[in-house]
Order: sequence, then C-alpha cells, then structure tokens
Amino acid sequence: MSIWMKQIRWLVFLSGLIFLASCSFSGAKNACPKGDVVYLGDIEDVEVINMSCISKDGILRIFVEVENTKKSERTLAYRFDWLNEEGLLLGDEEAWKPVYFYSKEIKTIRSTAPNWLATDAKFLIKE
Amino acid sequence: MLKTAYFPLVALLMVVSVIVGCSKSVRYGDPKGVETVTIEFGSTDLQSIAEQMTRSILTSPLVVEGKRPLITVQDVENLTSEYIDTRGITDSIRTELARSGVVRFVVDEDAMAQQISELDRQADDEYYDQEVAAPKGEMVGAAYRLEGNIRSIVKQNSDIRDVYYKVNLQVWDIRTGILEWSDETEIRKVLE
Repeated sequence: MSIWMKQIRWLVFLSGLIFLASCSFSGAKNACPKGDVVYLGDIEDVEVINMSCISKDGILRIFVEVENTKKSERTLAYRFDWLNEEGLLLGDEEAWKPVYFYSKEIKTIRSTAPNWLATDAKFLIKE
Repeated sequence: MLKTAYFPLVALLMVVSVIVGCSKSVRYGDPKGVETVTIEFGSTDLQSIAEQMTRSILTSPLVVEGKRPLITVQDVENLTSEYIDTRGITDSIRTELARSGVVRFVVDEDAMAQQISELDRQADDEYYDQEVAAPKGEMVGAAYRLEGNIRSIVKQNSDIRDVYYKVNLQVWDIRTGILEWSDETEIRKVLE
C-alpha cells in the first residue's frame, strides 16, 4: 500500500471521529443542576437513564429517559418536585401520574415547571 | 353433656369473629396518589389533565412574563356518556394558573350573578359609604376565553372494558376570534 493511500485512510478515519463527536455534542442537553432521582418503595427493573433540563423563556423544562428493564409490560407512577434556588419545594406536591411501559421500553417523560421560580427538579418514581 | 354446655359459647365466638372479620376500617389516603378504584373518570385523571394543560399554557406564546393577560373561563363540555364534574377540571386549571401568577382571571358567566348582586348591594347608599363603594361600570372584560371539551370512547366485551378519554382545550382571542392556543391530552384505562 502506498504512503498516499495510508494517509487518505487515516484522514477518512479522523473525519469520521470528528463527525461522530459533533453529532453527540449537538444532541446533548443541559444537565439539571442537581437532578435527583428518587425510587420509592420496592421498585425493581426500572432505570432512569438520563435527566436533562432546558430553560426556555425563563421556564424550566425537564426530560427524563426511563427504561423498563423488565420483560413484561407494566404501569409505574411518577411525579416531579420543583425546587427553587434555595433547594426548597415550590408550592404543593404534584399528583402522581401513571405511565405505561411496554416490555424493555425506554420512554421520555417531559414536564414543565409550574412557574419561573423553579431552577431544579427532583424526579420520583414508584411501582 | 359437657359438649352441649359449650355449644352456645362456641356459636357466640363464631358470630363475633364473623362480625369482626367483615368490619371495614377507615384510613387517610394520599389525595395525590394514583386512584384506580373503578374505571370511571377519577381524581388522578382530573389532576393529570389539569396539570398537563396548565403547563402547556405556561409554555405558550400567550403567556409572556409581565404581561399577565386577562382570561375568562367557560366550563369544559362533557361529551362523554358518564357524569363528569367538568367544573372541577376548569377550577383546577384556573387555580394552578392563578398560582403561577402569569395570568389573571375575570368573572366568568357562572359567577356573574353574584358579582352584579354585590355591586347592587354596595350601590345602596343607605348602608354603604359611596366614597369607597365599588362603582358600577368599571369591570374589565377578558381579552381571552378558555373553553374545551372531554370525549370518550368506550369498548367492552365479556372480559375487558376499555375507556379512552380525550380532553381538548382552547384559548380564543375574544376581540379577533383568533385561536391563540390549543392542546389535548389522552387517557386510556382498561378494566380486565
């Protein structure tokens, strides 16, 4: 193999790496300041894969990727606790909301803060 | 002879144990917990709908920080086959939006009679100091109208009952008739 061919292959490999890196950066969302996850009770075979926050027009929006690692469908319940800058709970607790999962499904749960004072959120999930 | 003597006592014990076994106890529950007592529209459905719709309005262009638009609320129309207190949905949405402080609400159709009655009462100079009484003709009309409906599709066979609810809400600009915001949410409940 000529030296030119080797250099071209090396260049192609490098550009591929740069492309992949740029893709992963463009898809990244901001991490929530603390973004605590609380699993309540005896809950098994469920995993919070990612929790990201975006502030748009001053209102915090949150995206939580939850995976049902069980081989069967199930219904879980979740809620968010919205916290202010001091880490104190804003307003009343939210209602628990049921969410249905197929076997091995990854679902993104979205929510929006109740007002402009929320700067962080805690995600609570239970059976 | 001895066995016969014990018979009433044994019978009494059996009756007492049946009564105690059948009695129900009362306990407090979580008002925000998931409620699945029956398949009918319940507290979890009402809370989920109100929360989802409120948060959707909060992220709409209608709500701009500091502007605080005036809204009047009309009842959500119940187009399902079951009884649903739809006023509960609009009340919850209104309360949560009011808590957020980003919008203000004016007297709606249902509360208008009480508002007029109060203005009439204060206009009586025999009892009220007219210097501080609320004068007539100064009420402010809403810029937007919130309305909506709830529909359901019910299917069942001998083994399963499936209920699907769809709630649609809209905010209309009263002056122009333009639809400023609309969103819908769905709920499916299955009884097996």
